[in-house]
Amino acid sequence: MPTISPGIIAVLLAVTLVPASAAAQGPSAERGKSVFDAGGCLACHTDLKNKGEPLAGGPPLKTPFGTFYAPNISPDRTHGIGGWTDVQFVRAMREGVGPDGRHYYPVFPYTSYTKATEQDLRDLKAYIMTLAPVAKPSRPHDVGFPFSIRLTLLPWKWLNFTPGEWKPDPSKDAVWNRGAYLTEALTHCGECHTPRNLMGGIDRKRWMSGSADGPDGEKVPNITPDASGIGKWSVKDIEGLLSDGGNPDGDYVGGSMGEVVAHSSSKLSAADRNAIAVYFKSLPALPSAVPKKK
Amino acid sequence: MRKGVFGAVIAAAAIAIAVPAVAQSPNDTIAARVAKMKELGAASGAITAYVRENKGTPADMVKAGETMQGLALQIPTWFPKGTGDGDPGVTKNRAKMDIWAKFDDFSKAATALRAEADAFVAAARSGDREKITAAAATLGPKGCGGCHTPFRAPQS
Ligand code: HEC
Ligand code: HEC
Ligand code: HEC
Repeated sequence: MPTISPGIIAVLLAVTLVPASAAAQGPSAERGKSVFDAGGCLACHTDLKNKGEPLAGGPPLKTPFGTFYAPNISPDRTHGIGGWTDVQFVRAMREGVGPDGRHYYPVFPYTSYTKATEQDLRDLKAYIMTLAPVAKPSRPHDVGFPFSIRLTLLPWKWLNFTPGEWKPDPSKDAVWNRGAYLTEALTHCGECHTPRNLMGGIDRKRWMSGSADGPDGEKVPNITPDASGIGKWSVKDIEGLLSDGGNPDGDYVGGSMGEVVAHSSSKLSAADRNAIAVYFKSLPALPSAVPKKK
Repeated sequence: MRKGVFGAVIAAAAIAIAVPAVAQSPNDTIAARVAKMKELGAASGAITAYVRENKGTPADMVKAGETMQGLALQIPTWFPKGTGDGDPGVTKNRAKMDIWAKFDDFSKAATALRAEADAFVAAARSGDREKITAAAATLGPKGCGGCHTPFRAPQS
């Protein structure tokens, strides 16, 4: 009976294991679905209120700069992104630049998505390509001068946008890092919950402390662990809100947060919701940036 | 004299019973409906505590569900025209003007809460924690969130 030395087993194992682990994985539509849900793409790019087809173009997004319409990003080759290469898609998400070289308005939160990993972005595109193409032209934005001129974006981008993948913090544990990655790169909680500076950029010094001009001019609450925020909430309370929209008092969120819960956070894994909650509990407590009504 | 006042009081009460919403000023209507919503909130808070922290009993859940059953179909009557956030002379409130643009959808959201509450009470009567938790999982998001998402503005 021939004996196999442990050394040979190790070699055999190494050979069989290498392709799966070391090499970059090919895009996976299955993983991409969870990136898509976390990123909340559906709510902006679909006219859910009027039962529009998925990703065929979204409802009006009112901002102080004008009204924007998220375009058709279904896999249609003419009206959607069906003809885009992976590289073009990654560039749009990471650099805010379209295949024709135009600069996107930051209503499209590429300022967050820029932090997503290359793998997540490729998986995301693979998933979008499995959806039904919709041959429907995108609606033009309704934006006044000077913002109608995309070139006015260039100084904005230069001052307010740093492209690049998110870097984990080695001094924190894996759960915190997962929560921070999801929050910074995909779930874009900060796009609504953080006040903006005069230039319309996110004010990092007041991260998550609330905003007086959220979607449709709605007020968005402080969600730092301050008394004016969610200081009394436990990790479990935050997880609960993300899973079904219920706050610890029995009220249920509505407005744009209701949509975030329905189309994004309720679809995350329980582990990812836990990671986000752990990350939020670790944030510095800041006073609310939303002025109180008289 | 005394009789006259008494008569007037009775007459006023009769009008109040016949047309409760109209007899109130818009701001009174808003205050009254916020109080009603808080009743729903208290019932829902008991359910949240039961689901998330295992506080309370199935009998408490039957009670909370029955509160919702009782109130659900009344909700549209708490929102007479002219009491929205944006109507002239009305205090700040959270009722979006879309309620009156899409009153059918608004009423359907109330009917949806009633259906959820019916299912929840049936589950609560079984006394089975798993069934109660499963029914609660759709009661809040569909029954309450399903109306707050399109029709209620955030707190300011
Ligand atoms: C807050 C709303 C919002 C969210 C969330 C959002 N987008 Fe968009 N997106 C927009 C808007 C608005 C534009 C148009 C920007 C412009 O014209 O400058 C856009 C543009 C795009 C484009 C460029 C399309 C083209 O024809 O050039 C792509 C690709 C895209 N989004 C993909 C995504 C994906 C994938 C997600 C989810 C990870 C997502 N978006 C989430 C609002 C959003
Ligand atoms: C599209 C804008 C938007 C995004 C994105 C968003 N939120 Fe919200 N959030 C809101 C609004 C608006 C409210 C207030 C809802 C209400 O009062 O009905 C809210 C409420 C909340 C509350 C309840 C606070 C309280 O005091 O009751 C929490 C917690 C919360 N959000 C956490 C998050 C987290 C975590 C994320 C990211 C996963 C997130 N939000 C993403 C707009 C947003
Ligand atoms: C058919 C629509 C509808 C349904 C169903 C509904 N609500 Fe509401 N709710 C509203 C609207 C609109 C307001 C804002 C009223 C205002 O500000 O005048 C509100 C306000 C509230 C408030 C805030 C009260 C305050 O302090 O200002 C709470 C709490 C609440 N609802 C709880 C619930 C709960 C819990 C449920 C489910 C059991 C529920 N609601 C079901 C429409 C609805």
